[in-house]
This record gives sequence, structure tokens and C-alpha cells, in this order.
Amino acid sequence: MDFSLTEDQQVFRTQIIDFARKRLNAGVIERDEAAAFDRDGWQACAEMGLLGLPVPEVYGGLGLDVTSSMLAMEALGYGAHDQGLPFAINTQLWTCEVPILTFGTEAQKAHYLPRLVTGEIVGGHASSEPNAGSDVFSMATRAEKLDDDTWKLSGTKTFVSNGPIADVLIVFAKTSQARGFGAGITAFLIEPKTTAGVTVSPPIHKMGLRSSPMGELALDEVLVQDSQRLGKVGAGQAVFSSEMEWERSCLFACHLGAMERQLEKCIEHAKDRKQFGQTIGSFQAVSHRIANMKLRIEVARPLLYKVAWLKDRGERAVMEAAIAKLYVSEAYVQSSLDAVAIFGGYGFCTEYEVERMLRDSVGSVLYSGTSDIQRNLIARFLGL
Amino acid sequence: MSGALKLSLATFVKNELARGQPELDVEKDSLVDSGVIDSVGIMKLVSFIEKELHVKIGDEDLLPENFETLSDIVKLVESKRA
Repeated sequence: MDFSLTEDQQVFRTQIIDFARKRLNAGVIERDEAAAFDRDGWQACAEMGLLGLPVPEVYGGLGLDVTSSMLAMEALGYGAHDQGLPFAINTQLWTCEVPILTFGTEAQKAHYLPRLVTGEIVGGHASSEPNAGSDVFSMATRAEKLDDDTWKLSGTKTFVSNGPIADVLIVFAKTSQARGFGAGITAFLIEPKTTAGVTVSPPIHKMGLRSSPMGELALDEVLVQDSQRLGKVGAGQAVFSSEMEWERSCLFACHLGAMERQLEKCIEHAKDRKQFGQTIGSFQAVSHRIANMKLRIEVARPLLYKVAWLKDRGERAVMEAAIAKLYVSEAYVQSSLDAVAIFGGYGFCTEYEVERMLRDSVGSVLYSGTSDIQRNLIARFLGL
Repeated sequence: MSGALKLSLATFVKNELARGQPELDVEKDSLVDSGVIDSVGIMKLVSFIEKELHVKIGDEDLLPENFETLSDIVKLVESKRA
């Protein structure tokens, strides 16, 4: 494996960092407090090409490979202080655009992808339910086929990232009670703002990533044309699994970028802050914490890059993505706790933006499959 | 139908995916309805096919009808080899 960057990748990385610093970092604390989505930032990211990284040029995207897409996300996570916006972008990329690209008909691709890439519409997916979280395929949402052209969907989805602002959502529903989740789940493209019977809740208040809106989706006998089915009947599991492999790698590259920025901030503070007549970085209690933060980044990076490398070679990376996701998320939380400890009382104050990173990091051990689910998956691959 | 291919797949399914189900007849029973092919099982099987049998299976091929029975899996692999 050769993880050295090409010249194009290095240039793009620098461009994204410069862009994020100039266009995305004003008013971050205020947006976090107000739980406000940065629509202007979203549009700026679209103009930068970030909403269409892996989408072929024919649909308006950049047509990048997995490694380049991952590097772009790492750069965005490094440059953008508002981690809610990159989270919303990742949601759209990996749980909406890529599934449409992989499983959609030509008509579905032509209808949705160009507008998703330009930022005109916002996408996401709806899989979790009040009683189906980690056990996602035990979902209660049903899709009943009324005739050759029409389905009727009923149920409730929760934790729908981008839900309150979404124009199109990939909704998973049971199409067969008799078949298990291996064959009984089907994906549908639903436009929540214009489809009768669909109700989207206001944003759910949450601990971190507050500028990324998340809501509930209620489906009350929603009539959906068969042309809105994504993939074949019963292919929902395939759609979902494909999404997760992408998300568990590229979204978490954003967190790696954030950890790199966090490390630099801690080093700067440790060199500047004096206690007992010395800079705090001269105390091993601080310097060892920082050394551990660096160690986590150096371990996390090749884990993520390996996933991209495998996917670019056309190989599967299910277990590798689970390992990377598990490690990066738990490292992100631990390093964020360390950062608060290094900053002391200032780390507890909003102004220093250290506490927000801790709040933002906690969700990472939950979404895209909890740490326990990743360990289950890894263990299954090891034959246990 | 290739006997060697079928044997190789049957051995993998029996030893790696259906170890807790000694009553399962991997050559006749539905692997989907029996739960052998679940969200992780299908990925383990596809990884085996791609790494050991050197046959690429696309995400769009991860459909229940391609993994319902051992014969369906053999047909899928043979169609990809053709």
C-alpha cells in the first residue's frame, strides 16, 4: 500500500482547507447555540464541488475515486470548525447520492443527482425507528403493494439526519412479512416536502453536531409510485450495507481531520500557557496526553486509507471499514476528553471551542452503527 | 454446474455461516429464510467469493434471489465468470 498523495490530491486538499477557513468558520458558536443549519455554507460547499465528490461528471459531480473523496473529507473536517455542516454533507453523499448512483434507474439518477450535487435539493436516508435502532432490520414500517404502479407506506422513522431540511429521502420499509430482513426490506425514494401523508418533525435537540438538523419522519398511508422504488424489491439490505461501507470510511475521515486540528490547538496552548513558572507542555501529564492524541491520529489514518485503497481496487472492505469506524470514533472521543483536560477550565468554556468538539465527538460512537455493533461485525468476520 | 465450485461454496456456508444450525441442509434449504444469509453473512460470503474464487460481485448483485439457495449462488458465480 502506498498512501502518498498525488500532486492533484495535495492541491485539492489545500484548496478545501483554505476554502473552509474563509467561508465556513464565521458564526460557528452562534449556530451551535441556535442549532442552526448553515445553508449558505452548504451552497458554498456545492460550488466547491464537495456535494458531488464521487458522482460522475455526467451528473455534475467531480467523479473522484474513493481515496480522493476521503482526502477531501479529511481536509473539510480539518478546515471547518462547524462539524455539523460536514456531517450533513456526508449524510447526503453516502446515504443518498451513492445509493442512487449504485442502485438507481437512469431516470432516477438524472432526476436527483444533478440537483443534489448543485445543492438545489438536500438528501438523506431514513432507516432507524423508535424500536429499531441497532436492530435496524426489525423495522415496523411497512410497504404494501396496491397494484403494479403503487405502494402504500406506513410507519415512523427517527434519527433522520438532514430530515427536517430534506427534499428527498431513501426510506427503508418491509415489503414482506414472511421473508426475513435478508429479503424483506425494500428502499424507496420519497420527497417529504411534497408527498401527501408525510410529516417531518422539527429538529430534535441533541448534544452535539447541533447545526446538522435531525428529525422524525411519520408516514401515514403514503402512496408511492413504483418508479420511486430504489433497487429491486427485497434489495433494501444491499442498499443499506453499501451505504454503510462508504459512510464508515469517508464520514470518519472528517473526524480524523478534526482530530488533527484539535491536536494543533492543544500543542499551541501547551506551549503558550504557563503554570508553576513553566509552560504546561513541559509537564508530562500534559505532554503525554498530547503524545497519545498524536498516536491515535497516526493509527487512525492508515486504517481509513486502507479502506479507500481497497475500495479503489474494487475490493470489499466491510470488516476494514468497521475497524476504522470503531477506532476513529473512540479515538475522537478520547482525544476530545484529553483536549478539555489540557485546556482545564478554559476547555469547559464555549469560547475556546474545545467543549463543542467533545460534544460533537460523542455521536460518532453511535451513528453508522454503535461501537458494539462494529465489534459484533468484526467478530463475525473472524468466525466467532 | 461446476461440482468443485458447489463444494467449495457449500463448505464455506456450512463451516463459516451455518455453524450453529446442524439441521440445516445447505444444498436444499433457503439460506435467506434460515437466517444464514443475513446482513453480515452475505458480506462474509461475498468476500469469500471475491478473495478465494476471484470473482467480482457488484453491490447491485447483492439481491435475495442471487443468494436464496446454494444453487442460486453457484449460478451467480458462474454468470460472473462467463
